[in-house]
Order: sequence, then structure tokens, then C-alpha cells
Amino acid sequence: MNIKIYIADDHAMFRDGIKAMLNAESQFEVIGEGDTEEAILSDCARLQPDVILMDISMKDSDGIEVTRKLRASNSEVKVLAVSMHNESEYIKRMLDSGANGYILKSTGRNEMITAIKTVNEGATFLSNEVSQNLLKGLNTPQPKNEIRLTPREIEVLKMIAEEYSNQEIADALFISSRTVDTHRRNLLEKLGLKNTAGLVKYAITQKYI
Amino acid sequence: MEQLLSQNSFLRDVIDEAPYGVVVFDASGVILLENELARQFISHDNQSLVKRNIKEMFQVFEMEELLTQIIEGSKESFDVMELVFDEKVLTVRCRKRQDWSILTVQDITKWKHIEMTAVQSIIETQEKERQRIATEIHDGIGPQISTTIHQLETIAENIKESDPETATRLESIVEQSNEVSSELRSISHSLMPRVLLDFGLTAALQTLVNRVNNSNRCKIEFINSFSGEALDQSIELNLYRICQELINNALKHAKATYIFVQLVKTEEHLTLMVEDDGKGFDLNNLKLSEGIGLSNIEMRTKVMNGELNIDSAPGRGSVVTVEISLHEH
Repeated sequence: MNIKIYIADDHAMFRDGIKAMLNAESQFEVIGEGDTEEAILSDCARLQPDVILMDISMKDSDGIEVTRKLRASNSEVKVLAVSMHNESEYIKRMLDSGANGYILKSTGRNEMITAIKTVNEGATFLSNEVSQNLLKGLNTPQPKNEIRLTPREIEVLKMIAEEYSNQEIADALFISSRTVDTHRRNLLEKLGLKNTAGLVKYAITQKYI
Repeated sequence: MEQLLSQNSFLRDVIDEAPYGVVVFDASGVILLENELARQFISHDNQSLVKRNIKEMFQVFEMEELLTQIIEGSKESFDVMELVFDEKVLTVRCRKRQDWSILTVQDITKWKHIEMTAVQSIIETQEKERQRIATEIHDGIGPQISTTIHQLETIAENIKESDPETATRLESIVEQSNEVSSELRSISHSLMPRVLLDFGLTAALQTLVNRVNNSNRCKIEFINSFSGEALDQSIELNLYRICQELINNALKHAKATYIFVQLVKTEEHLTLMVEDDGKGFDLNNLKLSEGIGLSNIEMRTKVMNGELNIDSAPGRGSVVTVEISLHEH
């Protein structure tokens, strides 16, 4: 049986291109296309496609939102995001809202075919670049309880704990006393401390001095 | 001197009618003479300035210093443009004569305001235009080139057996086109980061940092202690642009190997701090492109009513801080 495909994209030219490409394959059949939330939702309810190729940034609608609505209406259609966006934020949100796969518009023909088949079988498909960006996006945020200080902040902290004045710290580190003050305020804020005594205590317990 | 003037009402009138504030003080800084405008601009209590000391009237660091130099005689004159004083912006000029010095004060608050509005609208127009071009590339040309690539691939696939040679050539065209497409995407991104518009400042800075890390040119870390509550979009865009410029400087000019980008929120302020370990620079001796970059940063900071502080010395890296008040926005 052919895989029935619906194309949600606001570029007629892109839709035509994809249609021509997929209809050339015997196992696929493009059964509809649309570019507004309303049209996409009602078409899907009516035509019951197996897979939707879902753009994210469309003129009058947002693919993330449309996917969420499809899932809210218990639709079991497989959603394969096909987007220009390769940033992890978009990928995360799209998967969160219930997409089964994510490929880029620059994806090659073979990969697109594999992606459609894979999501149709119920598995997840992310193209290489997508999964790499997603992983990087997941890795970068630091754990909440770990406080990251920059080397210069540590220098400033040490010198505060050793009772140097703002001006002395400034001279030693080749920065202005105003910047020393900003470092001091940032340190207090980042460490959740109230005053210099707190900084001194922190420097000692963390063995900076 | 006051006596002299009381006898010469013509001279008194001239001074009173001058379109700027006039103050005359003696060798020790005691004010001998003022006009109405000077009192308006300088006096905190709107009381007469006569017999008070000029240094007490200007308790602003740079003015105190300059006035001391005039009184001590190490300076003959000074001009201070754009002195922020008592919520006003003043231009202050001082000239020393033998026994006394004359100081004139002009209130340019209104002009500064007009200038800022103009700068703001220039920035906004520029950003709008960038956004238009970026959208055109990202949503228009981008998908079109993707479509073209897909069609080429379909043809290549179809003739693979009948004409393998042409198919191979088509495949290499596909590869070149893919490069064009990815180049377009990165141009569109630097023109207008969609992540910023869609997900806000912290997500956009994280993306920017990831991009630099991916390029393997330098290690860059984003330390964020800002919850990411939505700020005014123009503020977010300005902070993002400043950060973009600073990272760019650190990579291109300073050849930094490590950059830290921090957003720290205190009760009232948001601080953006960018530190790098690069060559550093001498603020008084900038290359033209660096100078333009920094003056853009300066302009954007001013438009946000923020404070900019740049610390750098040759060989010592640099620390740039932009602080904005959260309550105004």
C-alpha cells in the first residue's frame, strides 16, 4: 500500500518540487497540501494521510502549533518536520509538540525518502545535522546548582578575600575599578550572597585562598 | 565685581540676557557672579550661587578634577561636552583669566533627546531592513534553492542508468548548491537571528555561542543567570547585536582563544559582560573597523539608556560591560 502524504508548507514552489519528487516514487502518493492552520487541520481530518511534511515558519501559521493541535485532537498521523531552521530550540519545540521526525529543507532526496518511510513505520527520524545540533543544544546549559565563575572573577574573588581594595584589584588586573565593582556585584548575585563577608567565607570554603 | 556690575547696568543686562549660564569665580573658586540660567542649571536649591564655591556646586568626579586644576593653575581652560548632571545634559566651558575664571553652561538635554530619537529610528530602520532581507532569504530564496536541488536529484536518479556521466555531473551540481544553501542560511542568520524573535535573548545568545563553538575557532562559554523573562524586543535586539559585535571583535581582531559571555540579573539591572583572553587593545589607538564596531556598541547602549564600560590593555584581553536598568523597560 502506498504511503499517503500531505504537504504543509507555504511555498507553492517547494510543495510542487516535493510533490514531483515523491510522486515519482512508486511507494508514495501526495494526497493534499495546505498552508494555513485551518486548512491543514481540516484536510488531515478528512483525508487521513499517513505522514504530514510540516514546515515550521509559515506565513499564516506555525508548524509547532499545528502539530500540537493535531496531537491534542488525538490524530495519529505521523508528523515529519521539514524546515529551514537547524537551531536546537526549533528542533526541541517541534519534538516536544509531538513531531515524529525532523529534517532540513536542504536534506537530500534519499534522506527525505528514508525519513518518510521511517516515521511511517512508527520510529523517529532525525537527520544527521539535526541530531547533532539537538545534542549540542542539550549539552550546553549548565546544571543549575553548578556556579560557573570566569578566571577573572576568581582572581577578583581571591583579592577581595585577601582584603585588597577595589583600586588595588583594578591595578593588579589591569581593569578599571568600575569593572572590579561590576565583578563584585556579579559575584554576589551569582553566588547568592549579600556582602563582602559572604564572599570571603565562600573563597575560604571553596579553598580559593 | 558685583559692585562694578551694579554700576553698569548695561553689562549686567548683557550677562543676564546671554542664552547660556554664566558664572565667574575667583582664584580660590568662590563665585562672584552668576546669571539666572546658571542658577537654573547648576544650583540644586535654586538659591543664588554667589559666595559659594564652584567645586561644591559640581560634585561630579570629572568636573571636580578639572575645576581643581583650574584653581591650582595647572590648567588654563577646559571644555566638557555632554556632562550628565542632575538629569540634565550640559556642555560646560571654562576659561581662566588673571584673577578670575569664567564658566559657561549650556543645557543640551533637549538636543541630546532629539539626537537619541534620531539614532533610535536609524537603528530601528536598519534592523527592519535587515529583517526584511533575512526573511526574504530564509523563507524565499532558501526554499526555492532547496526545490531546485530536489528536482536536480530526481533527474539524476532517473538517468542514473541511462546516462551515468550526466548523473554524476548533476550530483556535483547538487553538492555545490547545497553549499550555497547553507551559506544563505548563515547570512540570513547573521542578518536577523530568528531564534531571537521566536524564543528571546537567552536562547539566541546560546545559539550564537553554539555556532562559534561549532566553527572550532575559539572556545566560548555562555554563563546565564537571567531567567529569560521577556524584555522589550528592541532591547533584546540591541543586547544581541552588542554581543555579536564583541564576539566578532574578540575573534577577528583580538584572536582570543577563550571568550566568556555572561548575563547577570540583579534586582534592578541586567548586565551583559563579555570577557576575552585576546590581544587586547589600546582604546586610544583603535583600528578603523574596531572603532566603528565600538561606536555602534556605544550608540546601542545609549539608546537603551544603559552604561557601557570597556576595559582593555594590550596583551591583557578585554572586559566589556553593558548595564541596563530593568525598571525603565
